[in-house]
Amino acid sequence: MPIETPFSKLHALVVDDAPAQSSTLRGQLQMLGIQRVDVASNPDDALRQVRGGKHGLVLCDYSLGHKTDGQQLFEYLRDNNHLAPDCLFFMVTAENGYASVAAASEHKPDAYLLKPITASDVEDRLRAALERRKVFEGVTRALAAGDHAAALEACELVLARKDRWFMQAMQHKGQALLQLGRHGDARAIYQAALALRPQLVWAQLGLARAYKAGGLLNEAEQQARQIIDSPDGQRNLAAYDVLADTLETRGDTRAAQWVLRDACAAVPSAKRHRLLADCAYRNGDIETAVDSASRVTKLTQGALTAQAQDTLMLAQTLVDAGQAPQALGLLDQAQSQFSTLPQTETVSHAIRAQALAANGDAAAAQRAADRARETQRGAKADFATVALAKAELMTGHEEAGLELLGAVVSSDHENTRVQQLVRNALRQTGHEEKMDSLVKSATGALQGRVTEARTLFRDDRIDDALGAIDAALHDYPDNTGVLFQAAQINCLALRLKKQANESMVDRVRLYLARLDKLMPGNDRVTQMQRYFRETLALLQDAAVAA
Amino acid sequence: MSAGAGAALVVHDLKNELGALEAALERLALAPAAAAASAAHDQCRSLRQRLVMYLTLYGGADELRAHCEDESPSELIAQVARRHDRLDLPVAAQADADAPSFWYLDRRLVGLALDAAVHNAQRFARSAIRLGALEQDGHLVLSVDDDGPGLDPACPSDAFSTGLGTALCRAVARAHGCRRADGGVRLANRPEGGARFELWLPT
Repeated sequence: MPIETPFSKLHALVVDDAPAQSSTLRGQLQMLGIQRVDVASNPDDALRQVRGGKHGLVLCDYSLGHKTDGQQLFEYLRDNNHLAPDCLFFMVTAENGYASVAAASEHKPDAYLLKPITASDVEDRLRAALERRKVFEGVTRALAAGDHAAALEACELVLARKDRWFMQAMQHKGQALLQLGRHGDARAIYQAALALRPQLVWAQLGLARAYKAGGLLNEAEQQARQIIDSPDGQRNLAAYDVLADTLETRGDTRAAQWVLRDACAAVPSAKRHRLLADCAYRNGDIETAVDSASRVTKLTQGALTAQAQDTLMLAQTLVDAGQAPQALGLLDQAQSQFSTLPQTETVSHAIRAQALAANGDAAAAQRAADRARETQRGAKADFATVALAKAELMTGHEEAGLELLGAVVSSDHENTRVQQLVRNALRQTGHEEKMDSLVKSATGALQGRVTEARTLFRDDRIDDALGAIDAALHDYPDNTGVLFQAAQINCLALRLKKQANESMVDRVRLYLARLDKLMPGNDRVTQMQRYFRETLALLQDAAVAA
Repeated sequence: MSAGAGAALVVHDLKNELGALEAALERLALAPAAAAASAAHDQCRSLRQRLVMYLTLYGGADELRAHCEDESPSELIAQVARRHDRLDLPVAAQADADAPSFWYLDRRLVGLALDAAVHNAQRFARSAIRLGALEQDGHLVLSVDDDGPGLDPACPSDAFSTGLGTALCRAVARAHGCRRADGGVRLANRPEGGARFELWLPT
């Protein structure tokens, strides 16, 4: 007869490559009344088992004798939503590894357990983690529903208890405020936390983010640098990311690249090199891009985190670096490694066409370009469409290539990252002087339509203005600039009409959802979301008054 | 005593206890007995805990470092008490009514320091051990009281047998930023009888 304990209902998974260790851990869990304990001996096995969603506790060893370590497995599972939201993740580490693991990760497991582990260690951590989960249940539920206002209210309830969860509630509150676009209030929360304890890294980081969200870029930069320069800050990846974002927002893409390079030096993971390769590639620093992209493929070879996109990125950088034969070899290899996915097929053919053209094999290059064109599904502001445009330009289809680049620019005309890619493509194919005219003609018509909608609105022809901006959006559905204008004009119209027109409200919701997907975590999107919420509140007040 | 000499003394002590455990297990192999097995298990656990202490103190290349998180002092002392509670010698935990609800500390290191203090108290206590927590002069004060004979006046500063426990507690307090002259560790007689150990951790 199994013992009834607070943990009896948990279904646990032990991840460890050493059978002796996993049977010890399993025995310790059983001593706590946890009868259902599965065992995985490697990351792939763990992924397969955890995907079922039945586990409430994962006990994972940090070193798995595999290319993927416990922390990478944890981040992969969290990033890809393979872990159920209420699943607890405990990391088991050897003593010496603890500090570096803890400092480098922004995603923290629910607990770190240090070897040697006893059943009572596990019990203590389990008890605390379950209590924390219960205390923050309201916050978690609101966050899962994307309702940051409700999350904020739930935080206030925990703060009012003034108990041992006070500081963690403050941390959640700061995040909720940032999500709500209330960066001034978020700043105040983080400053209050730092007044209690100046060395709190989460508060320093939150403060940097709040500064950045409020457009105080110098303060954000200074705050982020201060974290990186602190004793444990050298491995604080989130701080590097805030700093790089801040510098890029200011337009200093070179400095952003240096920061990402420093982060790679501190933690040379595939994830970090991926970010550096992207940034260097946009900046036209091909040498760094090749170096980092090849590190990514080396680091992920045979690991859970291998992606077809990484191989394509490396192939593209090799073509740009004048190493077409290597690029071709890589593409052949990728074809056998990754089953052809529709989303990578076009770009793979396009890069092959470029490489063949650079290699002087015009006929084969034409054939590859034809295949790329056939499989292409509409121009987007992305790496794949630029690769196809380059293939067109390099196989003698100048008009088609330029037209495609124009379409890339107009499909998201305010996206500076994509414009960097377009400019590089033009330069590499000997068309750099066409950049200005291309941008002008690609954005001219679009700007005209936005301006028209705004003029109509100013002239009190509100319904005509709404129709005009809606039509523009129909032609450029992923254009973030037009989406912002559409959200703004609809909100202004709602405010003027002083009534909540259901279909307009729904439309704004749709625009904001699309913006959030296209630009995750972007400060301007957050501000527009806030403006929309305030609009809804005004309408509600008006309804009550009437 | 230098750190090296202290360390050697501890290892010597652990070796002797390991020998005693080996002898106990040898007897058990010949004649299994639940009570003796349970005693050997206790002895083994205590040895392991002291090896962990030893490694914590002398195993790393650098000075001990604390990784502080906001923890509940009352929950922490309750956990330590649960670990050591015995039928013949109960260990209780009761934080002061106005003890802080959270404190930034390294749960593992402070737990080890309290383990050492409780171990020591177990050697002298007659009937009970009590853990406490309170805030005083900007410090969290964690205490272990026993109802034994009190400190030996000949050696009031070091009631721990080999000095390992005291050295560990001082190192833990120092790692938490404690700069007090007494090293953040106080041992005193209680007016009502018995000894009191205190660990002082600054904000």
